[in-house]
Amino acid sequence: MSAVEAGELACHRPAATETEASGEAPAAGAVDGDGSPVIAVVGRPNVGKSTFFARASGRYAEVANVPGTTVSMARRHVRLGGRAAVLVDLPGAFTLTDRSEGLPAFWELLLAARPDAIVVVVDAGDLRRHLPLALACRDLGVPIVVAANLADEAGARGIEVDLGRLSQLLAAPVHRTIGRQGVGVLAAVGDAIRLAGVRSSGDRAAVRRALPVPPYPADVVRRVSALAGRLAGGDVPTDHVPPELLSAVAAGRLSPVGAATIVAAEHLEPERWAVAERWAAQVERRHAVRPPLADRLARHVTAPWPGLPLFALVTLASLGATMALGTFLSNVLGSAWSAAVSPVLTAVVTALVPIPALAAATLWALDSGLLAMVSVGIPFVLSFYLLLAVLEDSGYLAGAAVLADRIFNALGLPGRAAIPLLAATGCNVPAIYGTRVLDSRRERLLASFLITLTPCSARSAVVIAALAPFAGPLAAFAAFGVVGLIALSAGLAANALVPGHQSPLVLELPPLRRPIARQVGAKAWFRFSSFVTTATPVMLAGSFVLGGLYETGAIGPIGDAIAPLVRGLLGLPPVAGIALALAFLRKELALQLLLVLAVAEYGAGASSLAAFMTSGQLFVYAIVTAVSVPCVATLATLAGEFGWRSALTVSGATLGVALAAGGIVARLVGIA
Amino acid sequence: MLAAHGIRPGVVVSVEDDAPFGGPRIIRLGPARLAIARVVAAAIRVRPEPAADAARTR
Repeated sequence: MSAVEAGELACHRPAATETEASGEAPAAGAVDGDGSPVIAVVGRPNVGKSTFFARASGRYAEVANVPGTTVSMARRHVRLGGRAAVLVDLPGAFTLTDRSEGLPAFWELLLAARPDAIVVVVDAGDLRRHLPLALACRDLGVPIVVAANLADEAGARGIEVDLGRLSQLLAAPVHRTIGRQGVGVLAAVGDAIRLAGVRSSGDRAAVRRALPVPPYPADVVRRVSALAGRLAGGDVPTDHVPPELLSAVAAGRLSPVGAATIVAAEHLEPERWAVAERWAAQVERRHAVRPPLADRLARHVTAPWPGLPLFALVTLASLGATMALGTFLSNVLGSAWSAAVSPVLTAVVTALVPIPALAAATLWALDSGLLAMVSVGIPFVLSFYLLLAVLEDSGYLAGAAVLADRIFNALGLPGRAAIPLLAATGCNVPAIYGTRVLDSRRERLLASFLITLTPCSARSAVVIAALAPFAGPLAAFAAFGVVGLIALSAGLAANALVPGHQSPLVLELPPLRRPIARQVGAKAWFRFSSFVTTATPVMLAGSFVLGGLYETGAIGPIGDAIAPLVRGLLGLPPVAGIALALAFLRKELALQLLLVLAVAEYGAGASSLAAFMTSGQLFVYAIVTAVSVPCVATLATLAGEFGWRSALTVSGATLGVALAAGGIVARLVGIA
Repeated sequence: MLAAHGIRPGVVVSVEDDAPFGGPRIIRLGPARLAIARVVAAAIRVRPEPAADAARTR
């Protein structure tokens, strides 16, 4: 049976008993703590809602030209024309009854925001598919303002909307807006604040005047009224009505009629779509125009030709650009640090901390720990975020996700997973946050497992620096190839082992757009600052512990404990095992650490890697470093996102994979 | 899910392309482009629309 038919059948439910409904909206709306009215911004994914929000509030909230990237609510205090209000940005929604895994239904999120008015952002060029949500919001009994957004793109497609007529039909203000340029945004929000004021001042007459006549068939209206009557009387069997809805009605946050429209959503939705179709036909005027260049290009992005070669080109160019920009920034920042900051830090810490071992450990944290952030974290992560923002805002990424979908399906992932996986080559931490764009916990866990197996810039640097000078650049390439194979096989295995299955793709493709520099910058900076605040404390603490272990000599017993495993399984000197284990605290130190420990163990002659490890051993070392246990910052992020149990399972799995693969490679190259 | 995207009885859709390796089918629905997994797309019942290079769901 097709989904269309299933939708039809679902309508044939037993009718509710008929009683009288009050039809009154609650007089006083919930207001924010300081009495400012709350304005919720609602819209379908990818309608430019978050851009609209940023324009209205002057602040950036997470937004991307990829559907479904607003993952949490953003609240901002705004002041417009002397009136204060709180603006709340909600995740994109198709219907009020949307429910993504592990999250409350969309109407619950909306009610939790306690809106006094709702700005519904719709696509002026696609009213048929956007008006149903506006109708659903209006049916709640909360005043709405409709922002007919993307008006410029609609105009370019020859679509003109009679806003006055639409406003009459909706019985709500309608504003022509272009979020990207800020056109009409403040006017729309100002209107919403005005309506919210009417509502919270308790002017019931004004509210009643604003309440529209429902455009639905009489039988549907009767059904909703009957349901509302029962909800008002409190005699509704709870198995049909979510308890959250009943409590919202009891608390006066939602009228019984509003609640009834949520309960009867299945009956109302087809009617809303029918009304939208009718109204769109009445208010739209179409002129024959040549499709805009962006629309004609969009098709080529997703077509096998030239889409696939373009995809390969864009991927390689992105990685190349990130590496080039990252290396450049890394060198500049790194040398600036060594020249200006390091000597000062050393002098200050040595003077202030009397115990030498403690002073040394503190320096590990402040000097090398922060240097790692400045010279590895910042350059590579920031350049990656900038590039990612450009790819997202241009709309290219969604097209690429569709192209790659089938390939990622084999790993139990949708094509969208390509985005966080690409991010993982910069740093695993933001990549794991990035998995929030995926639908289910299963997909997020599988993607995070692959992410931890993907060498980040720090691990890649170790692979390159350990192999290129001593075993040749080809060995470095081969190592990356082996790592890729390991990740692929592990991903296939994980997909087979983790219970559950993947939901098939249904994705709306955004049009191609020229990215706006300011928005790209704001987005990259927003993500970058959350990376810095997460990673910096962990790096400081990790480096301090590492320094402490090294300076106090506690490192020796650790080495003895793991020597059999390291020598027997991987064919490596025990020192290498210590470096591998401690690299958990700071991955990019895997190499420096190896050298330092080697010198301590074997004397000054070991200062070149080649002096105490063969090329084969270096190859194994590089691969195990690249694949094994994520760094402490990644582990902390995994725990924060999935809980400690899953975090330890994922980390344990990578350790298992690394040891098994290392053991196999060691036997293949003949060192064990 | 399809209904939320606007694929409802009576709407006009047209197939634009198929992503490679058995990837999603890209369909047009008014100005919107949707990428839909083949298995889902196969469940949409269509009949040809007379006098237009488009199809109509039933």
